Amino acid sequence: MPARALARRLYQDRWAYLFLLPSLGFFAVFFLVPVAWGAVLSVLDYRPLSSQWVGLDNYRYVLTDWLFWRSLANNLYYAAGVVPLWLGKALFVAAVIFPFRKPLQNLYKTAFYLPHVTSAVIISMIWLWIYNPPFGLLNYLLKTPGFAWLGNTLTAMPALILMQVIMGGGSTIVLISAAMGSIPGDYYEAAEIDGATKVQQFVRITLPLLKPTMLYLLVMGTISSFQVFTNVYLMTRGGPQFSTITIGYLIYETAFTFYEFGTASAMAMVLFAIVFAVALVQFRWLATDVEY
Amino acid sequence: MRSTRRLVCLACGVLLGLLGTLQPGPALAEERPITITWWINPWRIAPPDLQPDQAPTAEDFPRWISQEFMKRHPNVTVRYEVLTNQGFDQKVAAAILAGNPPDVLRPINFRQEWVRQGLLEPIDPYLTPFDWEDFYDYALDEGKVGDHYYLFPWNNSNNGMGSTLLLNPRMFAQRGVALPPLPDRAWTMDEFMEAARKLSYDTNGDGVNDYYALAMSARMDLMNNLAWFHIFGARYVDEQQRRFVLNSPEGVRALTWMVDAIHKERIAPPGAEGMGIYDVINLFHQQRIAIGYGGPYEIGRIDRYLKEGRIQEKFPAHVAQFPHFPEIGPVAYHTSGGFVVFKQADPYKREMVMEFVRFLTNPENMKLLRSLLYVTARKSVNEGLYEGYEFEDEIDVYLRAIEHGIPYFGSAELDTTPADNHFIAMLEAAFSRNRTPRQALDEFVAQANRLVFRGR
Repeated sequence: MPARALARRLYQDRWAYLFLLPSLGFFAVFFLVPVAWGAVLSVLDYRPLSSQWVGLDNYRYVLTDWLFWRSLANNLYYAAGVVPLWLGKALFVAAVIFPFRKPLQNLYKTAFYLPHVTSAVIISMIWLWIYNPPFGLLNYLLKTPGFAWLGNTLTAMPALILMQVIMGGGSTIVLISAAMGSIPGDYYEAAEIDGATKVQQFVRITLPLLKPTMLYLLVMGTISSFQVFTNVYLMTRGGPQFSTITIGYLIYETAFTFYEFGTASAMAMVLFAIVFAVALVQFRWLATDVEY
Repeated sequence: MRSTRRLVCLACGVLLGLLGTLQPGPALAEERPITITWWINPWRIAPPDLQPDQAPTAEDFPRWISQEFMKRHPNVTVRYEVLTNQGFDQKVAAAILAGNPPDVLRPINFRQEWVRQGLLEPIDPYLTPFDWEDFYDYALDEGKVGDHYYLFPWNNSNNGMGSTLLLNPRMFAQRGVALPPLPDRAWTMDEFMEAARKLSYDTNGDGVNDYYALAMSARMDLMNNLAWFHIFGARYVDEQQRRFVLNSPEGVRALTWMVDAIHKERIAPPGAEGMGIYDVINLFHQQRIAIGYGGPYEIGRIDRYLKEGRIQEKFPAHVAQFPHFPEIGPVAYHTSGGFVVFKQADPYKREMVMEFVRFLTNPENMKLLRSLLYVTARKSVNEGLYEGYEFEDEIDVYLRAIEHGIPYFGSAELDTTPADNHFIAMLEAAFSRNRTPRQALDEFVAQANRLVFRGR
């Protein structure tokens, strides 16, 4: 586009840009600047009173550190466990409550949304008690006194995933319900006339038309799974034997326990690249041009 | 022309320098307004103005002592902040990174890294001859890096963790087990095991013990776990401070004993791999274990928890030494805590900040630690501090125990923090029997040596 035409276009849309400016400002200050600053720190041996250029040394260290790869594998395990179960649960609950009348539907949505607004710290404390070896609720119910759900390498990560799946998904249910509500009723009427059962209607109409919402939730769910921190920090500290250490927790430890701010920034940049790539792949493979 | 200008500049510089030396020293007499920021984690010390029936909060002591200092120095404003224990180190790290640390900090863990990064003021010029004589050497050494000292000593030990045990005499009496005798309450490992076996029992006949002698925990319990290793004669690092040596035969014996205590002897409950120190303290408070970890301070905690409704019933507790092998002798963890001063650009403010820290650690104010049942870092204060006091015997046992004190983590110059997570992982592996004690220790030592001594 020639420069003059571009300038005219910009001038024509000037009010839109003006209204976008505050959001853009916040986005720049709280996202772009930290990312750029993180990129700068990642090539420095950063100290509070001095810093030294080390080039790609931090990246070299991170990419050859077994603990980083372990935490990446744990993150993948966590995401692979949480995201599908989370979406499945939300879809199931949304499908079950959707035919209800509005007040009852809202009641269920509120009930499922409540854990979403509860502090992750409180939730973690409650689940710590549930999983506690000598006097935990789970061991009491299963009659397995002394079993350390969070102390066993086989059960620690599934225990974290289970907690997240049970407590999470409130906002997902609300979004899926909203998306279900926006599907035109004509489709279902036509299907009923053609003799389709409720299950067939759900599989052939609801699910395909929910695809854009599901794609959004899948991407956001994956990103938040890669950023998991609070549960790990409060419940396992990455243990037992590093079986629940995640990149988010490793970055935190590296920066704030070991004062390796450059290394932590390099880890954060690698995490950024991974999440960005995963989101791109998901959009490319699952994107759809559904319109209704 | 240029050289003339240089000469003039040089002459001016010399003149200004000379004038500087003629001015009165760092001028405490300046008395211009300054603000001192002070961060401390919750210490529920009862200040003198607290009503006797009132339970002290974490704010009471910093409020009172700040006000007292401000009364003496009206030009100074002390802004204290009580930080929670959870995330304490991270908040400090964030403040340092932001270039805005407090002037005075009572760190939970003294970090030599701060000295290496040039963040702290040395305190040795501010220690009087009396201070040098009065502070325990090991308390001063806690903050020694190179030839300088960076930590104004205050409290002695850290709740007694790794130094002494707490016994529930009621549970001992119920099982007909005699307490180790005063004045030392010391016992050999054989005596300890005999008692521990009697104190662990099943009440409902399902074959699983409901009450245990003690508990082990893998997480956040470095000092108590290291105590068991030291009892067997193992050491964390070698004498030259050049490598981790916990996988010595003594270390393997110690870890084998710890694992056996859970799985074979069943004197400690299963699940240690998933438990932390607070789980162990809770078990002691619930009187499910007869022996807990800690010193006199933990007795005060029982009272506090009772007032807060966290425990249902008050019960007595006695301090006792960790058991020992006669051929090795008793051991306890030696450590100390205190205050650090972050770098000050303004010499006058530096003087006043140091004055404030000296005020915090003077013998009179240090005596306030008595309300927490803490032993102090000053010899003169400890003499007679608990004379005639309800818990005099417990303090005495504690003082006798720490006479055998050694620094478990090697010299103060050595920062073993990077190995901590691997130490925990080693215990988790051994307690859950994922690894034999030998395998777990070998893996730990390999990782720890790589991280601490070889760096990257």
